[in-house]
Amino acid sequence: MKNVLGREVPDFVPGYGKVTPFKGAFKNFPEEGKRKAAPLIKYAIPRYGNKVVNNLEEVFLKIGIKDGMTLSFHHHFRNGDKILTQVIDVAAKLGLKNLTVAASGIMLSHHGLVPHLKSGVVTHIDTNGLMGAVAEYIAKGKMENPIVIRSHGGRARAIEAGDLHIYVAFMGASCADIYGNMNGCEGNSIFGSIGYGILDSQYADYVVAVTDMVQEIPLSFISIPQTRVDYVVKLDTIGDSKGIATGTLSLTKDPIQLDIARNALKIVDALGFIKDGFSFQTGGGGPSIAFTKFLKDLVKERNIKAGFAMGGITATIVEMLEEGLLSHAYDTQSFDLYSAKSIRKNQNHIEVGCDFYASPFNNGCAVNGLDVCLIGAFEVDLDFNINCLTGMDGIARTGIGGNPDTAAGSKVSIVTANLIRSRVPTIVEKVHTLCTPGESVDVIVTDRGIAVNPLRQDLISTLTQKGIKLNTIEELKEIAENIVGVPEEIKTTDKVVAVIEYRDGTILDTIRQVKEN
Amino acid sequence: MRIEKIVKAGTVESSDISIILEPTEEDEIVVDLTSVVKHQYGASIEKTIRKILNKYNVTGVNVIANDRGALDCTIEARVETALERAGIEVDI
Amino acid sequence: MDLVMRNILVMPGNNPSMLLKAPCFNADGYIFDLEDAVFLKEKDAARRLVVKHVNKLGYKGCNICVRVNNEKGLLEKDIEAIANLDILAVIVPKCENAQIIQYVESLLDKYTINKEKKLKIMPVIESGKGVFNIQEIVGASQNIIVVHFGAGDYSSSIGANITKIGNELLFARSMIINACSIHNILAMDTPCLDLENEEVLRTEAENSRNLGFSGKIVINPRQIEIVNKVFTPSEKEIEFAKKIIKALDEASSGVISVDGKMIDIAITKKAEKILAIAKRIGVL
Repeated sequence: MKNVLGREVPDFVPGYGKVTPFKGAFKNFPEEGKRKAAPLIKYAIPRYGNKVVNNLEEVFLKIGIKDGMTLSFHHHFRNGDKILTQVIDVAAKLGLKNLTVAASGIMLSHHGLVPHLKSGVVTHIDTNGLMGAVAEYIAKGKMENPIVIRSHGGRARAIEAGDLHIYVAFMGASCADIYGNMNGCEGNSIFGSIGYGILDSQYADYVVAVTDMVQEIPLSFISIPQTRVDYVVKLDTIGDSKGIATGTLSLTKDPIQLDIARNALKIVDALGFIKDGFSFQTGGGGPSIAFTKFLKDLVKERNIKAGFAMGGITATIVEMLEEGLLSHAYDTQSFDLYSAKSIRKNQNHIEVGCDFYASPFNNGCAVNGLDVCLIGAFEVDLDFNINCLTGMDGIARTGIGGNPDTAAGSKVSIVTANLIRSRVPTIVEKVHTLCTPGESVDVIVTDRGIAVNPLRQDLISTLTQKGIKLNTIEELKEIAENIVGVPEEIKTTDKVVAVIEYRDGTILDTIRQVKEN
Repeated sequence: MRIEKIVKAGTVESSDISIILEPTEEDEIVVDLTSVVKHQYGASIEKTIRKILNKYNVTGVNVIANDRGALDCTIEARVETALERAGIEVDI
Repeated sequence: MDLVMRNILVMPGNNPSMLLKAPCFNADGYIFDLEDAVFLKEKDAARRLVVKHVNKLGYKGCNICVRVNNEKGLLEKDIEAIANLDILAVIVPKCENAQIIQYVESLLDKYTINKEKKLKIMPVIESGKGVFNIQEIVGASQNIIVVHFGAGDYSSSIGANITKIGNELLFARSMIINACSIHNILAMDTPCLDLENEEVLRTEAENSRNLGFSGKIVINPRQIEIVNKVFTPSEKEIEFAKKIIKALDEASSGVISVDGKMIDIAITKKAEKILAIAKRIGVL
């Protein structure tokens, strides 16, 4: 069947269930009278005991993990994560089959998962995004069942609604105490906020703290509390702190990216947002980092104080906190070590879970309070739909993050992108993979022009009055195609390798197996 | 027209294309294309390469093309440079 | 001449990635280089690549200039290839006398089809001899619009050491600026080679501007922002210039003073120039 955006989606997905097609950004509501999923009630003898077990194998046996169960992981170590594959290696050793891996992200360091996909140890994946060897394996249609891709807000919603039921949450922690309290900002392998794991730990049947540092004295800074934790296991290695900062987190020197960032800030300023209490989410891409840096300078120059920053937190945002240029920061993910360290010592730097961040099915999440968000895109189409997942080869290269969540919540969402990547134009007729619906995407700033969604005539008129030169999205497409030529669409087979779920639980799009050429 | 020796032009830097022309005994043009944008432009790149070779009536050649997202004008320039290096008179 | 050139960015002529990105750098002018930035065995490839790119991408409003090879055989081929491109100028390196300018003129005359679109000329002065003959060089053609100074080759030609302060270059710089001022053409200073230290670049650019240069050659797009800032009239300068022009308009006769400063013809001229530049780059 086709959804409202004209995307062909299946009626039913094995391991996921019946599909509700996407109807519009704010058109699908929770079932009347439905209650949240609830975790198991537990009992512990009223004396401080010790939850530490010797190894992962013992965890599996004590819990009684069986074929077909769902194991969850957070990806706060990003490309340095070493927990996920170690856990699945043990599952394989114990002869388990048909497991579901529900990870907030499948990273480059998870290439060791591929053999377990081949052998059927893992047959379902539920994730925010994927890259590297696993992404390639899946894109080639080698898994029997489509994987499920959800935004951060969507994952939180799915857990709360019971759509994603987690049997065991393996929660990486840089430090845990013997009774199970844990955090990500003390110890030798710190990664900062544990935001992507918080919901998992609240709703899973069993929660395991996986750490390389266990202490006897209870932790004072607690991200996941002992009340939710069944076992603590200490491994030789859980992850490489250096891995959390892989990617492009230093300020770019590329003058074109800097220019894009400057133009994005010019737009935010022209729209009148830069004043006391201004709230924003910028993220970790090249232009985003630069934007935040320029924003900091501007806030300082105007002698004002921003309200709150949300999302992936970077060093520049922490500096804004420290210099009194920003009231506070909500952190679901610390993008560099500087911000990872700040959570512990700065009370205005607040660790939050993804329900608070972005779930659409509660009394209001943080993205709803954003003035502006900066989001990335590999492709934007003439309807302003965004593909922030699959690259030039049709294979996923990253996660969709909070892209659809922030776009839906903030007053103005701004895409920053180069108009041409390699030879491929960013503005296309139809995006290859639809991750964020165009109705919540407002402005696109490129190195060769700026376009505003015609749904936002208010923005168009303000920006035009302020003398900012705008193009239509069609003009941007033409500018690019005049240089690079009209691209052909990526050819695919009919096999669905992934479904993209919108934050409200409806299906936006599918990814199909790439045809080899 | 045939070329007498193996010639090369271009690089594998971003936005460039490396072109190697090898003379063969056959009467045809064989294009072996590797490209980072093969999905989007594979057919178009091969067409551009053949267009230039046909323009100068060159045949009996293997083209080994390694493309890093070159524009059409770059592809044309690199093929023409290769031809020029093979001793064929090429318009500027 | 209403050309404003606070910077001109050198781009290697054989680099397709740079040629593709050129219009996005917002430079006041571009040098597509066929000379020093291209290996001898790649001259043919670069020439063809530049021609194809200009024809395809157009670079409207970008002030594209092509730096050719001043060497027998290559010079003729380069000029034949670019004479009919829709670009601003041909940059002739290693100019030492009037003859080379005249020779380039004759080549342009020979190859240019639409005589009205004949390219302008920008000589590069980069030797003691060139500096010594600067007056005859800039006087050799009406088509010269900008003169470039190249310090590297110049200092080695006179046996000078390059220093931070740049005393060894002062004579050459002043000679060039003086000659350019007579013919009302722009002078561009040699690029800053320190790509890491922004303060070095800023200081160099400020010195160039104080000496009378119109702009500075840049060899990396990252240098554009700072160089532009230095060569863009400041708000204060613009305000003062406006006051002067206003005072002139209002004054009937006698001595005019603005902010307690006597205004003479020289100051008026400078004010007009500042306003003209400000207007051209859209900061007025």
